[in-house]
Amino acid sequence: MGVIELSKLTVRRGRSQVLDSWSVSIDSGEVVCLSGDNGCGKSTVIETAAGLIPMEKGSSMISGQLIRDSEGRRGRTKFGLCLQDDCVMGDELVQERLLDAAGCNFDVSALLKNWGLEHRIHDKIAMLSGGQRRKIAILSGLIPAMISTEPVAVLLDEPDSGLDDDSVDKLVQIIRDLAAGGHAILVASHNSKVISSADRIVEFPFSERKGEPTTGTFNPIEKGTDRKSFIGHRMNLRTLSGVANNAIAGLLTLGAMLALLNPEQLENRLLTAFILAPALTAGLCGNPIHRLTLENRAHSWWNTKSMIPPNSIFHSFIIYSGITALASIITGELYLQLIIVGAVLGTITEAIVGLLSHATLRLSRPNAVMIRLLTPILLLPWALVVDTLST
Amino acid sequence: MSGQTYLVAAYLGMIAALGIWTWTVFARSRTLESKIKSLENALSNDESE
Amino acid sequence: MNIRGEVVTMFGLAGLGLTFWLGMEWAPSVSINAFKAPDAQRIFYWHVPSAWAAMLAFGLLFIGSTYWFFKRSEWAWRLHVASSEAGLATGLMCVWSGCIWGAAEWGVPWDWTDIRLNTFAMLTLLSLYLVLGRKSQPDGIEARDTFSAFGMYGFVLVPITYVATRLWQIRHPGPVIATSEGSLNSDMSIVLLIGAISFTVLIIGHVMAGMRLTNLELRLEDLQRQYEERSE
Repeated sequence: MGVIELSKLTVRRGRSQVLDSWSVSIDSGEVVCLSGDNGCGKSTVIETAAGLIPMEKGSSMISGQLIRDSEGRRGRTKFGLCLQDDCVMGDELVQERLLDAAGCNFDVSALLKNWGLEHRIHDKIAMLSGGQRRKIAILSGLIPAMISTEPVAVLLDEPDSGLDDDSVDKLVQIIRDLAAGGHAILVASHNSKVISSADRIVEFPFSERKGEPTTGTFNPIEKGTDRKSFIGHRMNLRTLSGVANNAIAGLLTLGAMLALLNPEQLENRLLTAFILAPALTAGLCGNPIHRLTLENRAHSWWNTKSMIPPNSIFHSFIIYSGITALASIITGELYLQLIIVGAVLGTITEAIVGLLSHATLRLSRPNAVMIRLLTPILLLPWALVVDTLST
Repeated sequence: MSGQTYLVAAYLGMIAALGIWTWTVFARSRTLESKIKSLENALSNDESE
Repeated sequence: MNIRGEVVTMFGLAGLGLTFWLGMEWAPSVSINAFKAPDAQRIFYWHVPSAWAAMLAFGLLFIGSTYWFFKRSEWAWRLHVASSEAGLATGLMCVWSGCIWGAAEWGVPWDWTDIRLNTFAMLTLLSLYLVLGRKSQPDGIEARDTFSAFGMYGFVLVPITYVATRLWQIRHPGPVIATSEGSLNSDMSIVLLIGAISFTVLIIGHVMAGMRLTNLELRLEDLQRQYEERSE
């Protein structure tokens, strides 16, 4: 079995059938290039292989692990991915993105030096030019293989787009070096230099010919200690998205209620509702990291790393505790039980709304769909909790 | 408000919803049929040419 | 025999008209001891059948969604589209009339702790989401899969709504039909039955018309594509 094994893929996109029982097997040390007209299905192959698109029939396996099949079964393993979209969030730092792609510490500045980007190591990706951003996206896709001595799959979709000639030459050299190191690479491209780096060229979908690539030399980058990403929490601290998106809604709710009610005169049900309402409103705003991941389709890249979308749930718990505590203090007393309940309620509400938003990411216009229409369902449990606690 | 007022308001709302729903389905059907007919005519004219 | 949905809908509307007239002129009045707003009680003759029709529509929505999701049946997708619109219309009718009647009878139009009220409203909102969501997206497998998934999962609310007043009587009254605990005057039952049949016929007619509409929309798209290819 190859490192990349795509079997009998049948995939529909929009109204068309793009792939019909299409298969390819890529062994260790092999580079396969998909070339063909725009819209013929090359990107669909890459995204299906990465498990991002459901398939009517067939399966995708990488390094012996099932990534996705037509029954809906899914799995994850380490592989490199670079899509046509850069899949980077503007507020990510260059260094942290590359470290997250590697999953461990390594000498990022040495790598960036080869690409003329060492002076940008601590910059936000939003500050880079389009070409520079593309280089970071490509490196994010190549790094899992660059640091590994075991065969790793690499999926690249039009990696050359937005690159100058020198950078394309560097890319081609890296591809050959990785192949020499035993890694398996599937690349979709129109660029003649990239095509020439392939051992096999598939003129999509059916015709195949052998390539005559040069030989490379693989020198793996030295790995450091393992590293956990916590991208959601880091992004939240950097952007204060949890405050701007969620906390502000809770505070506004509190403010509006103060304009209408005298908190010191509230009793029982009204008092409980007053204290718990801000956390509910804040939670209804959903996952504060979700909208950041919509940038450049970053959610797709992170989806291949983890089933759980980037989130800042621990920070959210603190925010909801804080808002509920504030509401409680305003009434003249600190109700510890209600603060804990408010924190939990707000966090669960945020998680559910976040999941609802995540469920619509497959749509071509996910921002146009009014997911908030479904959020009133969360009022019922809130009201029941208020009722229960006030008795 | 008297019970009769509530009664009238309730039925007016329901009749309005029913009316709008029925009208949109019927009107869309007419519009689509006429568009389809003109396209079919255009395509068959092209064929005969 | 090819009966058009519009014809069936007309029969349903006629039945609704009859129900309305019977409900206003023929059905007996209720006692002031049993109801706070006895006049408003006549809302019952459309309120309950519209709830029944909405449940039927949500059931059809579930069938259409499931069959599309697992079998990729075009017919099932048309059923999903038509029944989501039917569920929206009848759901809104039920929620609207229920709120008005609640204001008259309970003094409040809504109760956030009543399971039936909230789950039913949620189903109506789900239909609104599906109708608006579908209009916001180009037709394709991704949109169909996403909205069918919501249609399937939303159906879990239907049995909850149905049994809610049997298990938790919070605000909405319990069942009065086909149970040993409830009792309904026979004349009222007749009007209610006519209403239920009429709404059923109406829903069937509208779903048939709606499915035909989706068929027409797909046919139009195909013709437009053919025309564009011919022009190139």
